[in-house]
Amino acid sequence: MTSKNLCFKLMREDIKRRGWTIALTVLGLLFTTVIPTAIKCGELTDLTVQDSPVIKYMQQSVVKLLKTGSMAAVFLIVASVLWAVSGFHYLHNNKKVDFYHSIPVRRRQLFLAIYVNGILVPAVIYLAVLLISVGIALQAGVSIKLIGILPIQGYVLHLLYYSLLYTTTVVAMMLTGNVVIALMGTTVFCSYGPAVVALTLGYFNAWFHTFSLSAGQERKWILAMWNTSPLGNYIGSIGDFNSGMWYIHRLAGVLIITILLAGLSYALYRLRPSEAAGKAMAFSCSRMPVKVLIVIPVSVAFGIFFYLLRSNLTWLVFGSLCGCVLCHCLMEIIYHFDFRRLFSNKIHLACCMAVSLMLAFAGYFDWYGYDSWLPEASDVKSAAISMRDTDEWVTYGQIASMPRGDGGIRFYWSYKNKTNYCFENMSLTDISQAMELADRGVREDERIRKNESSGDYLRTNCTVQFCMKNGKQVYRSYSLPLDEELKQMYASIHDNPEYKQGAYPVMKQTGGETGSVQVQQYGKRMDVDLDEAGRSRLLEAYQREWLALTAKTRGEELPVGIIRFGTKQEEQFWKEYQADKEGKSFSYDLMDNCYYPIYPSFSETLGILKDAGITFMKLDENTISAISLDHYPIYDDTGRNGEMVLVHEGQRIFCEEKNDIKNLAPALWYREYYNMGLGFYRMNLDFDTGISVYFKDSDHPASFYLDLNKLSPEMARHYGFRLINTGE
Amino acid sequence: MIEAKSLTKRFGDIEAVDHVNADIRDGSVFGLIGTNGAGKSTFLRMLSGVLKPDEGSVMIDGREVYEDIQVKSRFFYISDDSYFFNNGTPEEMMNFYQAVYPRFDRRRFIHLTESFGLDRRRKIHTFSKGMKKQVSVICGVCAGTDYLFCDETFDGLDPVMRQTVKSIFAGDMEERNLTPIIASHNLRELEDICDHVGLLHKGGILFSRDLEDLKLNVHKIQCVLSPGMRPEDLTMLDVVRTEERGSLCVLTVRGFREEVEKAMESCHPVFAEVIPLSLEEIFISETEVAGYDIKKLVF
Repeated sequence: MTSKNLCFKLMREDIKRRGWTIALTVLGLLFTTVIPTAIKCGELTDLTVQDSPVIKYMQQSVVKLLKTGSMAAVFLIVASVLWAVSGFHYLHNNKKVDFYHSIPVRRRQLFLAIYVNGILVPAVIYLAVLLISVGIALQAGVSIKLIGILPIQGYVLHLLYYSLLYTTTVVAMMLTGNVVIALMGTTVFCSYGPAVVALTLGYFNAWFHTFSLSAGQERKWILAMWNTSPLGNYIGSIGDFNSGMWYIHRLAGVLIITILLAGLSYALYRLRPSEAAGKAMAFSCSRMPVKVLIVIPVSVAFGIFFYLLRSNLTWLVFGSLCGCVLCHCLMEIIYHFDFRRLFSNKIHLACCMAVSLMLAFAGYFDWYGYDSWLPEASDVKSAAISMRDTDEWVTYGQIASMPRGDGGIRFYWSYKNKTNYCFENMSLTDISQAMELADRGVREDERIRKNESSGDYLRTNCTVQFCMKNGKQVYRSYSLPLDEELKQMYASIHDNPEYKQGAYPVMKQTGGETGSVQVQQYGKRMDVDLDEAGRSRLLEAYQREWLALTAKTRGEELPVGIIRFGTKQEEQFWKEYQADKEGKSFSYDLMDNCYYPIYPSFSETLGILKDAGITFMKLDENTISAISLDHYPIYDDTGRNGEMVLVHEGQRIFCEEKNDIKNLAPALWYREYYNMGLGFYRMNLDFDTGISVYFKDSDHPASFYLDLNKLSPEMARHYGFRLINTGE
Repeated sequence: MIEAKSLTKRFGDIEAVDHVNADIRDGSVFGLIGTNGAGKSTFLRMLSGVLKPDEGSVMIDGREVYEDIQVKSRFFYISDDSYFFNNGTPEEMMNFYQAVYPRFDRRRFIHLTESFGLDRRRKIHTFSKGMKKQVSVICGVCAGTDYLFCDETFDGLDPVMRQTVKSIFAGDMEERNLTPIIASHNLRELEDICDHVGLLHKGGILFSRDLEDLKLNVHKIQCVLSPGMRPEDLTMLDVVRTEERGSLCVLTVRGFREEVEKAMESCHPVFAEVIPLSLEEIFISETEVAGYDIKKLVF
């Protein structure tokens, strides 16, 4: 009998043995593919409306089912485990091993017959089920054009990932001698990578106080999480495929990995001793490495967890040792299938405990020197700085488009992180400020580690990027007290033109990119009617004045209005939306992004705007018709048992008299403009009073704050303000 | 011919089979006897290519058994606890074996199952232990192989069925030179079928001899020694075992019958009679020499 014939005979015999697996697969795929398609198609044919968008939407839903079949994907994950376990289950049973390994069949042929059946049979069943579903869809009136090759693409994607997951489970079956342990092994294969990546990230975050990631690094970590698990990669690929992306190279990668894993599982099958049946691990040499690879991360995770609960060294040590001992004992119990053998390998346990403690101490005491690292100034080419709590109003990112579920297009704002933008666009050639900041950050971290840091200060966070001369980029994030020293430091950084060039997107915008200009004052929006040259002139003037603007000026002046320079891309999207409102969605909020303040000292900008017919009103009795002061009731927890007690009655004062308006107007701060301040330079504003200003030319009031420094104490009292510094 | 050379298998710290050497001639029945845990099943599992020896080799006509399909198609292994497919019937087992054993005799299988009164379409898991054994044996003899490895095959068969199976084996040996290798505790069963016996003890082989030679070389003497004489005084005899019941001594001695009788006569016993030894008695006496003493186990 030729090997080929024997192999086919074995495949046939194997199929006969696995009737229940086949039945389950048929049923599962019927219920996750054919029946949902039939239900959806039933809804489609039952439609009485002739409304084309509704029909189109329903047809798209049917196509989506045929294309991605998320329920089918979930079932295929289960099926992959089912087929691998049912195929190679005999290796875990002495009787079956004696039977299969004593017959005159090469193990290679036996492996091949079972392995191929595990892919081929579900593939044929899924194909049949998919063809039935496509037939139902065509019957319901979904056009073949609409269906296209999507089901075929989906089929290829699912089949490849099914094969990958199936082969992963086969490897787990080969490495173990018990089905439950094999299932645990499969779980480890599917979750170990993401868990270790997440733990590494957690370790860095827990111990490296100055740890920071760039957008690129963040993406790499996330990708590592997805790509180190076949299951994660499958889910990610389904998501991408659902969004209309089709990555041939990724699928080719899946195929290659599957082939490699199949080769590995065959090699393990050949090497696997028959007597491994019934044992936890088939290869005794794999016990120790597997144990260490699981025990160490678990003990590190336990250590971090307990440290986060109580934030002290004792709990860190307890957590690390507890995790190590528990996991090690559990592994030994599993290896021996005997609870009494929990301490059977004391040397391994001692080594694992030592490594776990070393990792914990290395993090806690920063033996790596990560947080105390400061670059040599001569090694740094340039730097970039991003400071939290400053200029949080600046919008980063751009308008973008993406396909909607119904085939239309949605325009949306693709937000970008401030720090990421700064690091990509900022290049401070004078690195002294960054070095000074880093030096302060390192000193501050040393104080934190020694518990010497004062908790009285408000704190902020500052991230620095060092671009080294060797091409490497190093990131550090420092937690700093928001004291005068830092404010001075930030003022000097802010005034650096290179900082402004990299921190504010308006500085990178060109006249050629600018398609429109809008200004706003106290909520009133005005379009600036300028041609391209005028817009360019206005933009350049604004950029010049913004570049020259100092932190001191920003602390003293109040913006008269705000301005935005809309892009041509945005104009284009708006036009597309106007032309097809049904097929596209465009949020009006998109036009509210990217406003910048205009300060009174921006004379050139104001001049050009004035020439274009834009003037800004002054806040005085001529423009304001009334001011409403809503003093909120104030409660304090000074009651007998700590309950809240009303200490200040609420009150509403409505000022319409010109004199009152004249008194209050100089102290008014428009809320939005106040929020556009530097952030650090907070005024003595009253936040316990809601102030609404009614303008003569508008029916809608605007919300303001009031600067109490600009009112005399008598006047403040007159208008019902509580003066905190006098205790009133 | 099957040759086991320095065959060794370890399971962790346990040495299941320790440097066993054995030659099994074609056309004879080889009985593998041994104490519990002596390594009989492990030896058979290595013989059938299920286990890979840690040291040494098993060869059939000069070819290694492990993973050699040509060699493996020459034997059929009936394990102590045979596996049958889940919900499988004798007919399904027949179909499977027919696919893998090129000389499988389907007609004989049908004939034997009918003769044994086994329903070929009944699920095997509903069969009794003995009936399952019958199915295994039928599969084994119908596979048409040169060798049949039987691990405790007679265990569970009723006396009639045991004799029937022995007859089938004898018939096949006659017709097609079948060589059964039978591992068993039941020495009485082996006694009337085995030509050659191998005794395993604690992983090692104590002896491997023809049964006739074995019987010729070991004897039991029932005697009453002359007054004042003790069994220890019989220095001219190779006494393996002594049992005293009053003045009556039962001695197990090694040596040819004539020599033993002559030596006994020279001691002028009151009464002496040489009686044949059963295989069980040989087993007990030989293992006792090797330290497997029933008295030590019981008392």
